Amino acid sequence: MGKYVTKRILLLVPTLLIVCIIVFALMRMIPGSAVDMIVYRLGQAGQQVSAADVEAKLGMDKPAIWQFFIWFIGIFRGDFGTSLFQNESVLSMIGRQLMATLELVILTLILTNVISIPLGLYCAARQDSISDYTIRSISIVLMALPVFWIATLVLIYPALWWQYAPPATYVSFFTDPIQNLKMFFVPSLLGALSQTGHQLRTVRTVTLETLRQDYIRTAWSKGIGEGRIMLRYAFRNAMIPVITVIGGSIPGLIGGSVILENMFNIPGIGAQLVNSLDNRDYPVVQGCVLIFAIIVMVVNLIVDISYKWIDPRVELE
Amino acid sequence: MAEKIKSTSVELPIGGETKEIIDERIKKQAPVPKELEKQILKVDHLKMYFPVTKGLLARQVAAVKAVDDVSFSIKRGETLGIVGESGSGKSTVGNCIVRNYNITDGQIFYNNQDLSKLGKGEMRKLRKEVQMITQDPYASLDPRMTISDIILEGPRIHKTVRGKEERELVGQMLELVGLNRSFKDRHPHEFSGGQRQRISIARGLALNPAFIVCDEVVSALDVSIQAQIVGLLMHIQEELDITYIFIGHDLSVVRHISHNVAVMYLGKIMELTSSDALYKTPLHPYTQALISAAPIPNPTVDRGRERILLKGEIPSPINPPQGCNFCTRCKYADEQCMQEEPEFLDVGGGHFVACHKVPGTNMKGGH
Amino acid sequence: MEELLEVRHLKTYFYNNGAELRAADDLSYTVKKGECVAIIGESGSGKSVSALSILRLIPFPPGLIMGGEILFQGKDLLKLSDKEIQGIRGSKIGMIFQEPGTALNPVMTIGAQIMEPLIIHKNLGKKEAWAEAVELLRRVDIPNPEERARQYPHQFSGGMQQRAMIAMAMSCNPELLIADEPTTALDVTVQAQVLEQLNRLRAESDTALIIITHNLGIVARYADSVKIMYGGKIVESGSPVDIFENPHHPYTLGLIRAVPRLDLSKDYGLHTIEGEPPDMSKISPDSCAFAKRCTYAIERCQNERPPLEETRPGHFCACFQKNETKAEREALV
Repeated sequence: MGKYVTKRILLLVPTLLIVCIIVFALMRMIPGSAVDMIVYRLGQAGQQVSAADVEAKLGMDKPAIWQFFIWFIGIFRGDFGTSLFQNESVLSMIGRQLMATLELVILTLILTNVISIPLGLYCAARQDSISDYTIRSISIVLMALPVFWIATLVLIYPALWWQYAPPATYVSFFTDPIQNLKMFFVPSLLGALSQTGHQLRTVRTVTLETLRQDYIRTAWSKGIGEGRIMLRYAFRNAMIPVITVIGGSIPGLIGGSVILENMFNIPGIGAQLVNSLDNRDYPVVQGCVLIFAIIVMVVNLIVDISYKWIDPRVELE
Repeated sequence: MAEKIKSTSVELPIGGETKEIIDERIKKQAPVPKELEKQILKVDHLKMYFPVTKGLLARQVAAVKAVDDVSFSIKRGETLGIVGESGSGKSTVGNCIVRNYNITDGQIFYNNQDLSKLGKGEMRKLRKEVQMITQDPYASLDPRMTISDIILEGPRIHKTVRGKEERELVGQMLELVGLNRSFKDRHPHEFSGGQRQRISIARGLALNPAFIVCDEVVSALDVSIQAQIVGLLMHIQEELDITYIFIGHDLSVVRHISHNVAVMYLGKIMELTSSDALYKTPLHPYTQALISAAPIPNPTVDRGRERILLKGEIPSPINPPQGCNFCTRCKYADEQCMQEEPEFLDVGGGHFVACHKVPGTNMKGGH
Repeated sequence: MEELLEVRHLKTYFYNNGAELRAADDLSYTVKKGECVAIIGESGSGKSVSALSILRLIPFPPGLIMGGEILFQGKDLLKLSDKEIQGIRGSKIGMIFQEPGTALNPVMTIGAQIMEPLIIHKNLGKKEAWAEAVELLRRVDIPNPEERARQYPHQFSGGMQQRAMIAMAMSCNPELLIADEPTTALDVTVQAQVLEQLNRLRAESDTALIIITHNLGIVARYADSVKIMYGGKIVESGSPVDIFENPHHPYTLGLIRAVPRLDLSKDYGLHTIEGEPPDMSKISPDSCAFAKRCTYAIERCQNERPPLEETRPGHFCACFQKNETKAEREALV
């Protein structure tokens, strides 16, 4: 197992390189340049500088490939560069915001699974019953409605009717858990609801497939009760494909966090990313995307390892 | 240069309903040099190893010795049965003969032509003569094709029939296998396992082959249907003078349809003899165990037989035992058996055995 | 003494696309204590269904036990509550299935799977149950049982998997063991090993065995009593000698003559039964299911269902023409 993990971590490097190249290139291809922005802003603040000066100062007059390498090597030293607009290193900016995003993603994941897995198992156990149909219909509705629309409703109507709004200032979980959760609960729930639709159906389908297997019949023939069969036989076997789905949903969750962060004023990476894009703050954008990529790769690694933990037949190479 | 063989011509059992068409078919089969008329297939030291690879770069780390030095020959119009359990390599032998694999070593002579020396064009011609029918009647027929298309697929590729002849061919083939001519426009899913197997046989016969490899063709069928298909195959052999290799795991069935039987274990032939001698005088301990393991459907007879039970499991074909392949499970095995591989020898009357313990095979003298 | 198991007029039907399939059509038979009963049939005979019905393992949908009684030690299993039947499964009646590779839970160790019935039915603690599981593996001749019990099914060969299943089914010393085609998926020599083991085990603990198979040889070797099924009904029943050496039903005769005999010369030709095994949905309840393929069939066979009648003590046959088969019967070797 150790060998496998090491091998996978080493494989991260070439993947990272490719991701970085793509990010770097794309940023440079967007119309509008950071330099112009800077010149304009400084001009507004009363400082007249020339574009060439700015470029020289920022090291952007060097060839693109050179700039890329400087940046890339810097990553391994822990130096993601400095923001072009704030006087802060990218790493510390991201570090600040990362916590919030991670918290949102983790809470969403927990809520999604807490809702979808038991309900999915239940629907499979009571296939074609009225509750099965009802739950499935609701899940289709959830899949169809865009999360930002529901979020808008959730923000507007409670404010209108009960003068209620979730807290708008961020408090770290470690400082004040209750206040923190008050802020995060609604957005996480919304994120969870949008994922649940899809995941519940997957859990149900996979569990139904599992229940058709021969070993379920053997379990019945041993006199094992339904509860234990669902848990030790159906659940554990059905989880293998479900974990894949969960792992696959994470990139979507991270990306989707942008919208929710924006709407609920959560100071996360998503918000960070949007602002920096507007400003063409290259280093920050690159840093954010890179972090996203690393998170996705790490999650994939965890999912792959968990296969082995769940299914003893899996041979990790 | 082949020696002149005394010609004791093989009797062709022609039934009372010989049709002109059948006669013509026999005439149309590949001409055979007169001297070696009898021997249609000779397999010499055939080896088929499949590489086991590991890692990103697919390095070969080991080989699955599916077929490990197998030799036999078959006379025209006869059936060689190959019987064995999982890992014996029996299906692989069949696949090698119809050239589904590139063999690792050894030679296969069909009508005295070395198959490995044939060019692509000649090989193509040969494919018409050597056909294969396999086990799963549900997987081997394309569900989207009609029966007619299935039967005609080969002839169309090899261009053996044209236009109007197609219909006639399909009709003849269906009749030959005992199916109604009207079935030609239906699809496989409308038929039962036994009927699909008949369709597979009809497909195999459409190219007028001289040689058919039957790979576990009755294993997936009910008992009464097995009897039908076996009877059909034997009848076709009589009528059309076709040579078979019949591969199976049920000794009773294999023995019934075959003139000679080869017993395979872990890639090698343990014993090869006529089907009568196999039951009357089995020499190899593995053959004896197989026979004992095959219960006879008669309580009085069966309960009076000796029970031979093998200990242990079949070793892996990646790592066969050093000496005799069977030594890990054989109750007669001794030091020599563990160290030295026995030779495959004729102990009299065309009865071949690979075993140190059989009198006449031990080169070092008696025991 | 009353019988261990009495199946009376069992009716198990399946419903598929509006068609009714009578997999078990008014089935009756008995199993005595310690007896080995073999049920022979081809596909579509309903043999598996008859066994699954005993433990009420018929999946609904599409199947349903419509009627009849299954008396086990005097109690009707069909009338028990869910909890009560669970108490019988795995403890008083055990079952083993055809494909051991798929019948075992791939994510649980073998030891854990064998332990389950011991914990549930005998209230053993985990440690005792594990020790008992290892001991059971030893009894079925699995080498290194302590190590093997910690392994998973995919690490066992086919024969070992089946033996593990036998250990599992016998763990609580059941009175009755049902084996549904236990060796069909195994190699011939492995089959012999497993069957010998099964036979030895049940003789040791005086467990009755119902073995369901299409392999006539196995039946000839091990059975005390044989039932031949066709189209959801028992068409002939008796001792192995009755069935193999003195069969009355045309189907039984056909079946026996269709099996190639290793011990006879090849001139003993294979006899074939024309036609195909029946399509369950198309069998009419008012005729003999075999009539379409029967060479002895008369008009009565198409219009009336033949009842199971005793021809000689212990030997039953359901056929109007059973006396006509005499000549063929006597020609049997």
